[in-house]
Amino acid sequence: MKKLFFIFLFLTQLSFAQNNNAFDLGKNEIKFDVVSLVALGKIHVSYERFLKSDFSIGISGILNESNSLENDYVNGKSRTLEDYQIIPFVRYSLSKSQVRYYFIEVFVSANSGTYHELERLIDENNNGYYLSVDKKYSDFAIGCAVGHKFYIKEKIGVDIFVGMGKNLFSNGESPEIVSRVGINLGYRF
Amino acid sequence: MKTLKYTLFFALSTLLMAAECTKEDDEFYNAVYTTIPGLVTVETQTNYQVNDVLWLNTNTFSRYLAEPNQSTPLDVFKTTNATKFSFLYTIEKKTSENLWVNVANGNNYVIESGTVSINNYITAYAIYNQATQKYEFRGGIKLTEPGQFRIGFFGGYNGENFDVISDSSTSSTFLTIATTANSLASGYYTFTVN
Repeated sequence: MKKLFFIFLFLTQLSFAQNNNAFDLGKNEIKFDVVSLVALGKIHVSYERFLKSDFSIGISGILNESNSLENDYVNGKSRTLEDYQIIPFVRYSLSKSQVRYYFIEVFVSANSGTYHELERLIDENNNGYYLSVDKKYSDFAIGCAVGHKFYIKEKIGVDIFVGMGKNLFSNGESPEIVSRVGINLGYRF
Repeated sequence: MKTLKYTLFFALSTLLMAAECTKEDDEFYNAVYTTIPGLVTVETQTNYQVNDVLWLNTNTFSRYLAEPNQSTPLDVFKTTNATKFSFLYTIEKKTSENLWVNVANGNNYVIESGTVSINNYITAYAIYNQATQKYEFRGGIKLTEPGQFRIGFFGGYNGENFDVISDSSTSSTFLTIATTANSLASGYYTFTVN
């Protein structure tokens, strides 16, 4: 996770070298988070609609396909295993430039997955034993993120962002915090 | 205004990154902690002579243990699939007022059942016996010199007594039992060898 932040810092600085001219960019963008796929084994796709020059809305979907996260869960190193997140978001640009800007984001996340619960069960001989039982959770988080965005050749967008949200109905079942971290590669049209 | 926006941006970035980095994602969740007293017995004598052996055993450590606040016994083998449980202790000799020195070593230790590993402290392993359905350990320290000695156990997870810990496989439940031994005062059994 820390590596992602160093990449974030590096790319935000690197992108200052980008041109700041005005472009007639499209209103829509689809994007794919390559880092989440490679580093975490998560499929993370997004759509963003630009309503104004400094204001956009969008939706992200995350599907967990990570073997390493699943192994950590099975071996008791993590309490929960996320199945998916659906994340509607609103972004506000802090810069006048449309090709290179910092943004803040507010998002909500409908998230679901599996969690461990240790239960004391009774066997057929009336002896107790503890067993880790898998159960499903569903929750709803609200949170915020910050990020940096820049365009390459007016069409290829790069988003780097970090944030987190708090699950509103967590009662020891769902994770208390959900992360929102990624590096998106997008196509604007 | 622009400066304020960027100041807020970087402050929020720092806060979120710090929060991400400090998230506790290394905890272990497949673990059970319970308290069951009396799993270790110190085979005490009224007096000790040089060349006597001070034995410890786990004769009461059945697979099925009465668990406080439960109406049914706890099957520790079914819970953990562990073939052994371990606990730690030391033997020390008083060399001067308020100074105790560790004296355990492999040459003055005898094993009747189970195994031990001896470094600065003694790790005793009680091995599961399918026939008796007990975790068995009996090991003794040869008392090779006169003086005042004490056996001490390492503090337990609950801040009292000491722990007996399952040697579970990765995917099985780990069980930590806070237990007690007989004849301890403030965590030590103190005795004199003549």
